[in-house]
Amino acid sequence: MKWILIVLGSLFGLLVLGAVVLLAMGAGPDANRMTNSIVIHQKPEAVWPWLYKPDKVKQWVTWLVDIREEDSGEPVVGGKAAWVMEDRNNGNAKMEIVGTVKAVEPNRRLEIAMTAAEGFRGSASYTLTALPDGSTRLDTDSRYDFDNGFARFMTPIVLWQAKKKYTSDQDHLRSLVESAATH
Amino acid sequence: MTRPPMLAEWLVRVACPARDRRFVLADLEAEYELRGGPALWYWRQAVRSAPALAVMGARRGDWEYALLAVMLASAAPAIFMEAWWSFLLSAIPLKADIVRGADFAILSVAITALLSVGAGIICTVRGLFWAIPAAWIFALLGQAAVHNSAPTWFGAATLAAATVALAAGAWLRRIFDGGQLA
Repeated sequence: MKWILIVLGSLFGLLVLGAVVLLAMGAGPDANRMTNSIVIHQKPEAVWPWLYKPDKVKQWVTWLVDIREEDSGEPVVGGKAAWVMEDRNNGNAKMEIVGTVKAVEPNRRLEIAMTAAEGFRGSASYTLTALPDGSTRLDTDSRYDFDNGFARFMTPIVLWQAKKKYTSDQDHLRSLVESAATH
Repeated sequence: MTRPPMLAEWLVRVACPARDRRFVLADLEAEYELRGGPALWYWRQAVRSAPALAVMGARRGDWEYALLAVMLASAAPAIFMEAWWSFLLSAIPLKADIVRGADFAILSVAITALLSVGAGIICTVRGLFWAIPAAWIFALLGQAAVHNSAPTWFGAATLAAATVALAAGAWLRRIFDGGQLA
């Protein structure tokens, strides 16, 4: 019995330690922030349509199955679009993310506020910077606040996994933009 | 004749090992009647006896605890990790693939190893003879139940980690108390 209690006590201690580490990691002001930067060998004008045109966005954002826009065409401040995502980890359930354009500078910057019912609230900004060699640097900066308490507690791990997915999507975007220009 | 308080009697019934239950309850009831049926006295006896009776039951059921520990250490990580990872990936705002990466596999194997050290400590070196095959069966059943798409080396690594960790736990206990059940 003594050893059972020692084992259970040690496991409980490790669990508490893990929870404390997660709480500490999630307490920082930028704990819910995710940034990424890639260089695309194309001009900003060639990259820009890939950030908002539904047929193009659907090619590089994996698990995005549909985009419903209020108005098609160039994004305008206040314009809304609903992204329908397929959640393979939740029995292929469909989830809608409503995006509202908060700021737009054509060929330069797009900032979107996002909400998903019973999911999260967040924002994402895409900034295109022309580089001297004719390439474009795409900087993305996003923040997410989760509605679910456990997801909020797990924010550092969720964002660690999210960053892998976003990086892979953006690598795909780069190859699509660069190959589209050569055809 | 008054009956002992039902809730207090239930407490003794739950805490007491099955083979002693009849005698313990009969002794308590006889004493209760001799004293004229004081409910407070019966409650005091029940509350005082319950922890000692529960410990006595646990001591007799050592192999059951060891088997439970092996099952939890080998099957539970596969099921728990799959549920946890599905939740994490489902929380990703722009969603993610169902394919599990090396990070998932490494974390899962580490948890299996950690729990298996604990199970090994409970099993002792004598118990390894049946604990290792049992761990393999439980681990394979756990992995089959969740159908995740983890890397191909994940299954073999889990079995190897469980084996080594069980043995390490058992030897660790042997070092500290000579392999005797405390």
